[in-house]
Amino acid sequence: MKEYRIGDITKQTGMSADTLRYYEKIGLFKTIPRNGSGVRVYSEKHLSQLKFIQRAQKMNFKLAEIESLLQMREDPQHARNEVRQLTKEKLEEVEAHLTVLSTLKNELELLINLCRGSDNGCPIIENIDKKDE
Amino acid sequence: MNNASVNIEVFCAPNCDRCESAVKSLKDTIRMIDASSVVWRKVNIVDEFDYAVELGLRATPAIVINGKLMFTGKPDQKTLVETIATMITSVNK
Repeated sequence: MKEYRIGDITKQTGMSADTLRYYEKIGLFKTIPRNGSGVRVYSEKHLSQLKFIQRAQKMNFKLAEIESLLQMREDPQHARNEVRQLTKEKLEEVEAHLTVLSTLKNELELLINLCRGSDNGCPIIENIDKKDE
Repeated sequence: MNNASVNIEVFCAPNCDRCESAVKSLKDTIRMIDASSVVWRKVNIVDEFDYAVELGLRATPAIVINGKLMFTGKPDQKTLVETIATMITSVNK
């Protein structure tokens, strides 16, 4: 099984070493095992969890919520009802974001193609101006 | 038989030569067929952007017939005539 030092994790995730130590301190995940020299040794699973945390943070989930979701991720079969309910709520939030993102993607795609179709001027600017009015 | 109409919307971007060409092509087509059954309008996409996105437009020019996106880009005259004629037949059934 692949093992990582804290420096490897910071490189792969972009998280600072302080953030990683903080997450451990507040119990976001279980204590990271140390090697004989007392250096933290992260596993693939830790890396996966950290990437999950990053994604959840991009969705503005709170750390307490992320902690619960990590519990669900760890042992989905035995998750408490509250955690299961929270997971459902977060799924709904993500789906709502996807709808917004999908519409935005379509809008941007159309704007790009409008510009491509125009010999003079760019309707993007005009449209943004109109929306700001 | 009733006289229901075929509703055609041509979506154009400002300063888009291809869009103007599509409008001209549509006008020519309508002249060639039963124009009384066709209601059409030119839509400035900048003015009705949300509507365009809702219809699934991805580029201009685009031709929407009876609320359905039928052509993206300028269709050839023959295809346009055939499509509109088919629509007229189906709404007048």
